[in-house]
Order: sequence, then structure tokens, then C-alpha cells
Amino acid sequence: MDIIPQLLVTGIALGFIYCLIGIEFTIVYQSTHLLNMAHGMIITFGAYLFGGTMINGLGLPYWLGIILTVLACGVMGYAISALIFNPLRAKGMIFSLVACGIFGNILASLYLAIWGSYAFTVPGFLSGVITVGSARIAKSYTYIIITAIFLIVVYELFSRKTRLGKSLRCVAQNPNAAALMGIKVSQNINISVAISSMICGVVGILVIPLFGIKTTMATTVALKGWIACVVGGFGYLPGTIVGGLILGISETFVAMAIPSVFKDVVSFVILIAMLLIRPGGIMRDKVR
Amino acid sequence: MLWGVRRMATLKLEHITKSFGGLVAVNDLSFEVKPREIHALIGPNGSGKTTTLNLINGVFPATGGSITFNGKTITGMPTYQVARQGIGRTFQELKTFGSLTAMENLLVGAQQKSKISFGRYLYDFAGERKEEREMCERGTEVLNFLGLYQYKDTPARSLPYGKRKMIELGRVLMFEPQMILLDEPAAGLNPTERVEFINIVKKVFEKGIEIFMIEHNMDVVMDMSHHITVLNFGKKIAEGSPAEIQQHPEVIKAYLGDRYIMR
Amino acid sequence: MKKNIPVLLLVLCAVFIPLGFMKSNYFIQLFQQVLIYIVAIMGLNIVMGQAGLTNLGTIGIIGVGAYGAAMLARALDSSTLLCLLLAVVLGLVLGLMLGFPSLRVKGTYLTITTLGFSQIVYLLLNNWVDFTGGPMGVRGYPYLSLFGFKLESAISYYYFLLVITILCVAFCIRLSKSKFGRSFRALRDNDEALESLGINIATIKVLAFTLAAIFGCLSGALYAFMSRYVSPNAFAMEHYARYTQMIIIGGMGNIYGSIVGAIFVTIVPELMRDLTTQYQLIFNIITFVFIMTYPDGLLALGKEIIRKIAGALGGAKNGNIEA
Repeated sequence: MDIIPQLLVTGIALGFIYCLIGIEFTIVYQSTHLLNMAHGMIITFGAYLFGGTMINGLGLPYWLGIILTVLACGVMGYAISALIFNPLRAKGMIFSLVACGIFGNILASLYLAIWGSYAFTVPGFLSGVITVGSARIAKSYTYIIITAIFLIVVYELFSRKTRLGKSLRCVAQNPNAAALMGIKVSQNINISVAISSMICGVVGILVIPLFGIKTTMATTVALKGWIACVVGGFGYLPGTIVGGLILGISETFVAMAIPSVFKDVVSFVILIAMLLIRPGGIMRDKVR
Repeated sequence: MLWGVRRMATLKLEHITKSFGGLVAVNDLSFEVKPREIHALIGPNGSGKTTTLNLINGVFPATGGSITFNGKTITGMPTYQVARQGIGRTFQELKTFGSLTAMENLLVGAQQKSKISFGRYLYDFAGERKEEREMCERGTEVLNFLGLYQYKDTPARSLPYGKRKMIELGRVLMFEPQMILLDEPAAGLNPTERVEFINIVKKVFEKGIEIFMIEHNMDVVMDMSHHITVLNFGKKIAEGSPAEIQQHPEVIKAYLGDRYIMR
Repeated sequence: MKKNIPVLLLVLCAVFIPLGFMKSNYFIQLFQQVLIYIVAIMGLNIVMGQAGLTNLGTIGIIGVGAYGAAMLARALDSSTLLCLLLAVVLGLVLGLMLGFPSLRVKGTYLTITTLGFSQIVYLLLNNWVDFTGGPMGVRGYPYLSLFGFKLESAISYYYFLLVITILCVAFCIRLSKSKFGRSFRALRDNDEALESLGINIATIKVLAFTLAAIFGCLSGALYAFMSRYVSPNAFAMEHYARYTQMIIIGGMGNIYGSIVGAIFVTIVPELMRDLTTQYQLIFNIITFVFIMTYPDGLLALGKEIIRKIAGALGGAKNGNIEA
């Protein structure tokens, strides 16, 4: 019985990770109608940069490392958007898939070249356990949940209340109309991708205690982030949150019942079930 | 060989209603496309003309009412089955197959009549070749009829708008339909192209194929149709011959406002 | 007739060039790999290049085919055409399975679903130790034998693969010109219009996926007999993009383009292997820049170069200077 709060927290934490990935993925998809297949590599970049350079390399304090890493990811996202997404917008999804895929491979090789081919981690980062009653909950999970909620709130406020946020949404909904109103569409797309990449950077930092730092650390999570979008309803933020939580919690609890190596299969089973039963996502009636 | 054996075809809509959520696009609409009458459906923008066409065509199901073709109920049939009943359709926003040549576009039109299933295709080389030859011959006839033969190997996306419209019509002719639904045939055509296209449509009608169209261009409607139904806000407000419609007060009111009704 | 000359040349190269490398198992296996990729690519070209349905499930399909053939061969302790037949049947089943989601979902969702499929296949192959042997893979089955003749040597298996590949390519060329090929391309261009002409597009989609899956599984089975061992690593997610890369680099929707793409992506990095240890990275950079600047693919680039050369030569002959 004691284990339930622990599982719940783990499930919710993982759920929020998937949700954040779902959000950053949706941001790019909505503004460009392209799938950002390279987002896994950006997440990995955040982890590598933070763990490898900021902390292990330069010995910076955590808060500084986080800020610099997130900014660096933003810059990287802007560059990727300007060099890849904007030119490919006209070509269609398949080209962006392949281009991002190859670009991801290039990045992976670069990470190995810069930071070495051995997986490593940041010792002591977000480690520790808090005890609530008789349950022991890992601090990293609580940090994940708090950070994710904070990010989601900030993003929603930004998107709805600020001028830039609103113009980004305009571009996402109707690029032609936005252009006619004097909004620079390409520029806005670059900014959207930059924001998405900054979220990727945060995700990368948060999952260091969970997965360690290596080039394949984000592959499965990135895919599950997509699934969270599909399950919850593409393009609808609360849907993505619900989707992510469903995935995270089911995964964690099911892993208790069946051999844990099959944990990852759970998400895909949910995906298939979703597509067969309710293709628009759970909250599809709310999706634009 | 091009036109086959014709049978008089009738399309009947009875109390057709279509709502999208709270919006009623078509409201209790009934009319009949009688044999040997070119029937036009007109009305101001948003009156439900395109929705009606889509309902006949099976793009979405009607919320209420029934559509019968030659006595057979076709309400609720998916588009491809409606087409197999012998109803062809052209689109307002051209839907030619861009990467296919003019001839290939037409051949796709003939394919619904093909007797070669995939299984048979695997072993019956001679049969498949024969069928292809026959479809090509028919395609050549249609291309000649439309005056498009010189474009037969040109990809459709390279052709001008007017020619692509012809190809759309040609595609439909390939499966020997009994009735063709024309979605704004005059749209996007310059006056010369319009005359050419209308003449072709008239010839098609003379060969025995029934024509139903939705159209905005009044000259075309008055010139071509024998019978007109007028929609406004999803309801039928008038029906009759072109002469009757031109004088009809409700029609004038709908299009121009009631200041223009002659008392 | 003119089109057939380059094709004939290609076939002749495929027949004779390997004879020069007979001493080197390494190169023969490389050529075998190219042929196996070509078979898989033929399927992918149908569903993605022609019908326009995104399918990232190729690597998973190939994995199923490979394991299916290998496990049957091990169970029967004999590797015959029966194993290839099993692969075809598995492909049929997979195609139907993957075809149905394509009826309900489009575009992005379809991409994610097919990618999810590949991931599930890999996870099962790697983790279902009781059935698939887990990371250890499947081994201990014999080389493929053809009516009693064992295809043990690399060169003999290569020529067997060549025959199969040529048959597959010929089939696809015929299919492309047939009404089915037209339907696939019409589906990609305008599915609404296709339906309005009386063709059930659900059938077309499922057909496209099934053909892709059959070719994919066949390719996997052929891979299994390349060496007498299959392991999950070959079907890990990092390889999923390779097939789409081949199609795009060669030229989308074009059978010859796909073949060119398969040859390019497989052979060029190997040729670069001697130049530097970072050959894979440099190859990726080259292909990336190529895709961004010339998305029409290698085949189109080749044709344009030939046209320009022919134009220049023709102009020179006539005494005109081509501007």
C-alpha cells in the first residue's frame, strides 16, 4: 500500500515529461505543419550541454547552468527553424521528416565527438528522497512535477496574454491572414521553434537523473511525447496534459504487474487503442 | 462506342435536411431532376447549394430525408458507391490528378468498370493488356471529343485551368455515367473558355446524359437550363423555368433585395 | 526502347561487377545488402512514393520478416523457399494490420502510428526473450537451399538475390504502369476525386500497405539468410529513417530513383570508410545539404546533367553556342 503514492508520483512525473514534450512538439507542428523529428536531439543537447559543459566541465552553479542551457537551446531552435523548417515548409512533411532525421544523426555524431562516447551523468543533481508519511518519493520526480506545472502556466500566460504570444498563435492558425496583417510569418515560426527548443532543453535537464546522458536517451521519450498528443487530442493543451498523465500513470502501474521490460509497450498499446476507438484523441471535441 | 446505351435517369430529393452541429445548411429541400431536363440549382452565397451537391454525391450523410436515383435510395451511400450507380461529379476547385497525364487522368475514370481484380492481374497478363488497350481507345475518343488529344501525354498540372476543367469532365465521361453533377461549371473560366465548355456540356446532354448543376453565373444558367431550383438559407424559395425564375419576386428579393421587385 | 538502355546497363553491371570482387566477402556482402534494400524500397516506394501514405514502419516490417524466416528455419532445421513464403504471408497480415489505421487517420497520426509500430517490433524482439531470444537474437539455422543446392558462398547467394531483386523490380515497373499504379498516384494527388470516380479508396490504401509489407518482409527474410544470424540491433529505431532517406535521395515516387537512392546510401559511405573515421558523419552532412538544396533527388539531378551535357554537345555540333 505504501508503494502507491510512490508509483503515483512517478507516474505523474513521467506524465508531465511526456506532456512537456507533447507541448513543444505541438508548438512546432502548429506553426509549420511539419513534424520536428529532431526534437529528441534537442532534448539530448540540453542534457549534454548542461551536464557535460556547464556542470561537469565549467563547474557552474545549477541555476546559471540551467539558464544558459535553456538559452542555448533556444538559439539552436531558432537556427534549425531558419535553416531547415522555413525552407522546407513548402515541400511537405516527408521531406522535413527525412531532413530532420539526417540532421538528428549529424547532431548525435557531434555530441559523441564533443562529449565522448561514454554515457555519464551529473552526480547528485536532483538527487535525494523526501519522506511523506511512510512513502519515500524521489526528489527528482517532485522537481519535475513542479517545474512542468510552472512551465505550462508560464507558457499559457505568454501565449494568451502577451502580444508576441498572440501573434504566434495567429501564425499557427492562419499564416496567410497573419501575413496580411503585417506579421512576419517566417520570423514568428523561428521564434515558435526557439520556444519549443527551450522547453526541450528543460526536459533534457530534468531527465538527467532518470535516463543518464547518452545519445539515445531521448528516443523513446520523444516518441511517447507524440503519443501523449495523439491520446489527448492534437493541438489542445489540456488534452496533451491529460494524455501525458494517462501514459505516465498507466505505464508505471502496469510495470508492477508485468515484467518491466514491457513497460514501453504500454504506451503503444494505448496509442493503437486510441486510434481504433477514438482517433481524434480523448478530448477531441475540444480540439480546434 | 463513346456513349453506350442510354436510359432515362431520374434523381429525386425528398425533404432533405442537413445540419452541422447547430447550423442548418439545408432545410427540408425537395426537388426532382427529370429526364431530358438540364436542372440548375442556384442561390446566393451560403444558401446550401454546395452542401446539397455534396449530399447527393455522398461526401457526407443527410441528417434527414431521402435521395433516390432511378428509384434506388442512395442516401447514406459513400461517394464511391454513388459513382458506381452512374452519377459523375466535377469539382469547383479543380481536382485533376496533377502528376498524371491527361490520358492517365481519363483512364482512372474508366477504372471503376474494370473486370481485372488484383488477383487476376497477377496471372492474366493478356487480359490486363487487352483491358488497358480498350480503356486507352475509349480515352482517345473522349480526348478527341473534348479537343484535348494533343495534351494526352502532358501532366495535368502543367495544363491551363480551362483544359483541366475539360479533363475533369472527360474523366467522368469515361465511366459512362447516366447523370453528371457539375459544380459551378463556369467558375474560373474566361468568356471564350466558358462558351467552349458550355457547348461541350450541351453536346454531352444531347448524347443522353442528364445534367444537374449548381452555378452562380446567371447567363450560363439562363442559357443552359430547362429547369431551375432556387435556394436561400437552405430552403427552396422558387422552382420553375428560366423565364418564370427571372420574374419571381422571392428570387429577386433574395439576390437583390426587395427594393427591386417590380410592383 | 531508349529508356531500356540505362536499365540494361545497370543489370549488366549488377551481373558482372561482383565477379571482380569475388575474393572479397566484404564487398559481396555489401552488394547483397544493396539488393536486399532495393527489395524493401520497392515496397516503400509503392506506399509512400506513389500512394503518398507516410509509412515509417519499414524497419519493423523487415524485422518481422527476418525473425519469422529465421525462426521457421531453425524450427525445421532447414532453410528453403518455404521460409520466404512465410515471410510473404507475414507481410500480407502486417499489411492488413497497418492498412487499417491508414483508413481512420491521416498524415501526422499515420506517421506516428507507423513509427510506433516499428518501436513495438523492436521492443518485442529485444525483450520477449522466451520467444525471440532477446538481445541474443536467433542463430543456428542453415543457409538457404534452393531445391537442394545450398547457397553457402557469398557469391552464390548474391546471384540468387539478384534474380529475386530483378523479379521484384520488374513486378513494380509493371504495377506502376497498370491501373493500380495510376490509382496509387491518383490517391496521392487527390483522394476525394478518386473516390468520386467510383473507386473505393480504402481498398487502394490497404493494397498499398499490403504490397509494401510483403516486400518488406521478403527483404527481411532475405536478410536473415545473408548470414545465419539475426539480432534486434539491426532493427533498432536509429535505422528507421534510412529507408525514407533512400527514397528521397534517389527521387520520390520513381522506381529507378529509389534504386539509385538505395545504391547511393549503402555504397557511398563504405567507399568513404577509408578516408576518415568520421565517414558516416560526413556522409550525413553531404546528404543533408543535398536534400536541402536539390530535393528532387539524384535521378533528377543526373537527368538534368545529362540534358545539359547533351545540349552543350548538340549546340557545339551545330556550331551554335548554347547560352
